[in-house]
Amino acid sequence: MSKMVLIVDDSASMRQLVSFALKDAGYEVIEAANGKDAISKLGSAKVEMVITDLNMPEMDGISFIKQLRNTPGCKFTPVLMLTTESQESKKQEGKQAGASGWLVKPFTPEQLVETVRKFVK
Amino acid sequence: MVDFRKLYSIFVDEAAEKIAELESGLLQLEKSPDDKELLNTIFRAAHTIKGSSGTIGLKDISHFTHGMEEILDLMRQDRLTPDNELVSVLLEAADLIREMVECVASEAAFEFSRCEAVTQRMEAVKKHRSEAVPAAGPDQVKKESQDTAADLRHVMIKFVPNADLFKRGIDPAIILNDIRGLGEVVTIHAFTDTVPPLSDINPENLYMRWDIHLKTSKSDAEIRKVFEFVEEGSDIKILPIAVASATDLPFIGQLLVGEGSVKAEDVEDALKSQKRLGEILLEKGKITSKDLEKAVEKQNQKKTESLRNAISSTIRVDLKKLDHLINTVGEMVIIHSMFQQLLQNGSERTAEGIEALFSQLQRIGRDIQESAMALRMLPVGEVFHRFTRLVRELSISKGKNIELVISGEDTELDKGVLEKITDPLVHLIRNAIDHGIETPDERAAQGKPPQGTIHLSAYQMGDAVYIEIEDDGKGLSKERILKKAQVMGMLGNDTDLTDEQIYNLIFLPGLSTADQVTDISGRGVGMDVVKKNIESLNGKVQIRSKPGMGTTISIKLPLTLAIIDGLTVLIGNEPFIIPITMVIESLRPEQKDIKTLNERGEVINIRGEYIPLVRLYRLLGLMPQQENPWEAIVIVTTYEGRKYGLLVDELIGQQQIVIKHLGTAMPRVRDIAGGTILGNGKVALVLDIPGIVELSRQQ
Amino acid sequence: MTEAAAVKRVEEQMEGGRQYVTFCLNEELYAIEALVVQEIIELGAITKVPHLPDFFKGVINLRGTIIPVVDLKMKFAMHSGEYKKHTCVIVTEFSGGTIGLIVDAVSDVLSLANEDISDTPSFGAHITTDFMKGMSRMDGNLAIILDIEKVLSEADTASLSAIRNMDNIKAAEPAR
Repeated sequence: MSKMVLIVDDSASMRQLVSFALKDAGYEVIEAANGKDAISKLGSAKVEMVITDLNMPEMDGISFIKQLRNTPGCKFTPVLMLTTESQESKKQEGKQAGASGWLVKPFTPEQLVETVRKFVK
Repeated sequence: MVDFRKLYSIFVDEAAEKIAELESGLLQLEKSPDDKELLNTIFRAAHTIKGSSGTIGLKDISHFTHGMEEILDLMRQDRLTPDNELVSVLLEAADLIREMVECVASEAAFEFSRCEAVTQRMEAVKKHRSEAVPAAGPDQVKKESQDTAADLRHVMIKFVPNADLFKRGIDPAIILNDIRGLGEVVTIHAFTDTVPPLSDINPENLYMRWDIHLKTSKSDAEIRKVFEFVEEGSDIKILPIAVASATDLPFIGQLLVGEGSVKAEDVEDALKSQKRLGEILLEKGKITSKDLEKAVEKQNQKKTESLRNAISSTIRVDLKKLDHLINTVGEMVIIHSMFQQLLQNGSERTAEGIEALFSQLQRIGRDIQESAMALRMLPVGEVFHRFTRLVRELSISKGKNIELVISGEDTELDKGVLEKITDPLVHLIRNAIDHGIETPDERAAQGKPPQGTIHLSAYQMGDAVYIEIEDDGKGLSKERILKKAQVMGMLGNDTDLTDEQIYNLIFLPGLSTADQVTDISGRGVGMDVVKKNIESLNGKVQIRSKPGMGTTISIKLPLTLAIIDGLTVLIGNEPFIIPITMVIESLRPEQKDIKTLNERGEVINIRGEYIPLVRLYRLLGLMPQQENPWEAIVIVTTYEGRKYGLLVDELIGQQQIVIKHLGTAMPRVRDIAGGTILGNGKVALVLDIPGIVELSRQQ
Repeated sequence: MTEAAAVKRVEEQMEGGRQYVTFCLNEELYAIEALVVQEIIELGAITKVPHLPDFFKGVINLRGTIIPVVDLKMKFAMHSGEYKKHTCVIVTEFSGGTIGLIVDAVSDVLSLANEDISDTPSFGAHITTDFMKGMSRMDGNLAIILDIEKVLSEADTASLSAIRNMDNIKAAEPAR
């Protein structure tokens, strides 16, 4: 069975791009538009890894990661942040919240897959 | 439908770059077919095009490039020779890829049937030519290709992960797996020595560390990339190793396996189960606690040798110091822009404004200088606390009960000095454990508490930092030292030595007080090296010892590069700095207070107390502004409990200064402690008051 | 010259040929290996350090680092007058550390093959032959090639013995 990755991003096109690249690499992908949405989806599927944008309405990435870490069964789930280069402070914040790694936008699908493979084989 | 356009443009740019690399690489390859590094570059270019086109759904491009990549791979394995014909086929293929990519960019359709001819030729080459090379077993071929692919080197990756790795969703097993992808992993050793006692284990923490011996063609940067997300808070070292010395330290696991007490699989097993519970081998019942203890002991001996490496390679800087520096720099930037603004909108008040800004800039400049210098000053506690474990482990292995008491850990020393003093301290502490402190039984027999104490302390006094290692052990044996020195022919017939002189004999090369050289302290490096190291820092080392009571070794280190409060004075017309810590008061004496006593020379009466007068200009060989003390200034200082009056011409003021060394090429002058750079760029000398007093006494 | 000989000569230049910095001391031409030269700076303010031999002029500030400077003319017991506009400091690295050499002027940097350097004559020059590596003709002038290591280690020992003696000396007379 292929591994399930959850992509959290308010931009639909971004979600689709990530989704496409990962599906092509053999992962299953579910999508969420913001942190709140993501938390609710975490309960319904066995998610092996989470990829999240940081700037989102409803619940932003940092709060989402914090909440995720307190969600039963998600304590050790790898979380990859999508950041922009100018957000160095955000990166630190995310790491403190419990993010596993980051990917700087813009990235190529190859980079994305390569990074995801670091966490989920 | 998924919108690929954004991805396409990224791919097109990247591919264009890679195709250019491919093309120029192939052209060069024709001239130098044996250049493996070049071949690798070409291969990587093709590989990237294949990979990225595949990911974004351009399967045809990916497929076609794959054929090319295969040929390049065979060439890397020396199973194909890049001759003219082969290179032209590959160049044609590269041209086709370029056209394909151009089609992607312009959203035009590419006629992939055009590829067939080239694909067939590539297939043919692969089939016929590679068969001409004697077929080797797949394993062997692989091995060969690895050995010849590039410069294979051996590295030891020392990976001490951050304990919170699991909590950040990172599985170290994946990292270790990734390392396997970088080359041939010769050995992976897991260390469990950092696992705390079971009662202290937090099952969510990662306590292990690993040493990975890797044979690879990858650069350090490429290896480091594997650790990209775990780097922070983890300690990752990539050290080149000579193949012959591939065995580093004997590891616990290795030792246990070697002694047959545990199977290699069990060690691996323990490693895997770490994630769930942080288990230790002991608990699995595979070994007895005795086995473990034995292994730990062996390991400890080796580990102390590597302690200093761990200390000297990294030293932390207090974030507050750094933040302060950065803030001040930020202030400076603001002032720069204010300056610019002021100059652009010049008005009649410009001069006034410039003056105000300039004084701010001056203040900030001083602030920056101070904070930059402060960065080099580190508390000795950083190093001291690492000794706690050394003492604990060594004393257990020696069957002794020793406590390390640390004081003065906030005393700051220059980073360079701190690094260099660590090594001597390790030796001195080992000596105290090994030779100084007795076993609990011996101690009890003498009515001492069974637990011995080593007191490691640091403090600043005057312009020096003192580090003392004091033990309450048996003390040095004068008779034994003397006997040894005589046997080794170091004494001649001269046996009329003071206690202190006898104790200091142990700093002679080759003299060790222990009758038997032990595993711990007696190997190779002796007290002579300790002394040399300290002296190379312009420091001094002294031994005090009382039989049955213990030994104290006192190291005095100068505050090189330290910031001190200094009093600037003029002697003649030259400015000199006197450390303010040495100054009690300064005054202009009255003529009637200056007397010359036959036995004591010139003295000055200060409130009924006669203290020696030292004419600094005379001592330093300078022409004074005035010779009469009542027209000049006397600075009262104290040394070894006695007061002295130093005659100078003028007091300039008090300021913080940075003491600098006068350069190694400069012979040491006893009355000069160093120099500092004044505001005008000129060097001013810092007086060494103890040196001055000693010199004046000899006159 | 045969081709082989030509090749040999080129090789010699590659291997044996070295760069030298030449400078003047009272109109005489001297040279030291460029390898030991760190930089050449203008002579700034010197701070005299007590108790050292005369040729040890003192210390200077080299961009925040303090280095000692030696007056080569005084070291070689030549007449040393006032420092002039062209007087400069050759900052050199030798086994004992970094040290500045005060010279009248730096004239050139040039390459010399080993065979361009002849043995030291035992006469003529102001300095003892111990300090010399050899001599070479440069643009018609004879240049003395100094062995900087010997010049400076000798400087060092001289001053060190001065320090050792210092313990016994009486108060030094004012220098001016």
